[in-house]
Amino acid sequence: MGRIKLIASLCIILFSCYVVNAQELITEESRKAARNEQSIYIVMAVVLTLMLGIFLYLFNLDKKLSKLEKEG
Amino acid sequence: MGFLVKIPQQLPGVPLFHSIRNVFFHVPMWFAMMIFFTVSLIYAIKYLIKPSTKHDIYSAIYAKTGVLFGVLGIITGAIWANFQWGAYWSGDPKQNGAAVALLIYFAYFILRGSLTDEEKKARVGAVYNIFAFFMLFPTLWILPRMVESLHPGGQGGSGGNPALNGGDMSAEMRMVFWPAVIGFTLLGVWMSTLYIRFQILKDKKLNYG
Repeated sequence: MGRIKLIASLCIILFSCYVVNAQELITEESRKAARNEQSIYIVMAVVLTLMLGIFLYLFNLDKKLSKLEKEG
Repeated sequence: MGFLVKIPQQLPGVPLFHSIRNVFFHVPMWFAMMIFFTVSLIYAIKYLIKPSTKHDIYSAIYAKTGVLFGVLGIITGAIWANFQWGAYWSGDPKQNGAAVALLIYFAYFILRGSLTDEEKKARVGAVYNIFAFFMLFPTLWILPRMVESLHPGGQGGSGGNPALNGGDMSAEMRMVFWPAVIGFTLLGVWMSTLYIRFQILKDKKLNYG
């Protein structure tokens, strides 16, 4: 009985080691995948910033032009 | 195109994932900015040789567009840095240098705005423009190369051009990158010419209207 317990607990310890390993693998993989997924949104944010900046410049010009037209 | 082109999956060093596509948007900003500041310098020199309002307007507006692209470059750089380097601003020598260069150009507009006499404004502005342009070289080109930097090209890094490391880009990426540089530059030129036409009209009105 004592021996069976010992073997069982040994097995559990050994197996748990694999479980932990597998979990680490999964988290590492999923972390990478999540980062990969995120990265495309960063590009999106950058493009939107550019669009916003360029449109602000043009809207500013538009406003000034309208003012000039109104004066004349 | 910037979203569709194949990227090298296994980049050496830090994994950038899809954010490497920012190279098509962030880097052309700086190329365009350099080009506009150069155009601005040429018109500033032209003004000093032969004073005319037209040259002054061209110089000021191209500097303005250059500043716009520089600011956009800094903001897009900060967004990218937050993802890749962990902070919006990490005091990277290139970041600081770019910020200093832009502040020098902000001072150009403050200087112009503070002078009421048109001729004096144009002449002082042109002289300051030349100084500002030559300050770009230490802040953007020389200092970031001399110290360690998170950007490519610093000491202890991969070497080469500090703005982009050509060897890291695949042929397909270069096929997108260079047209992007040309495209953003042309867009900026169009925006500048619009502004210049407006300014010339306004000047005409002030003089004859």
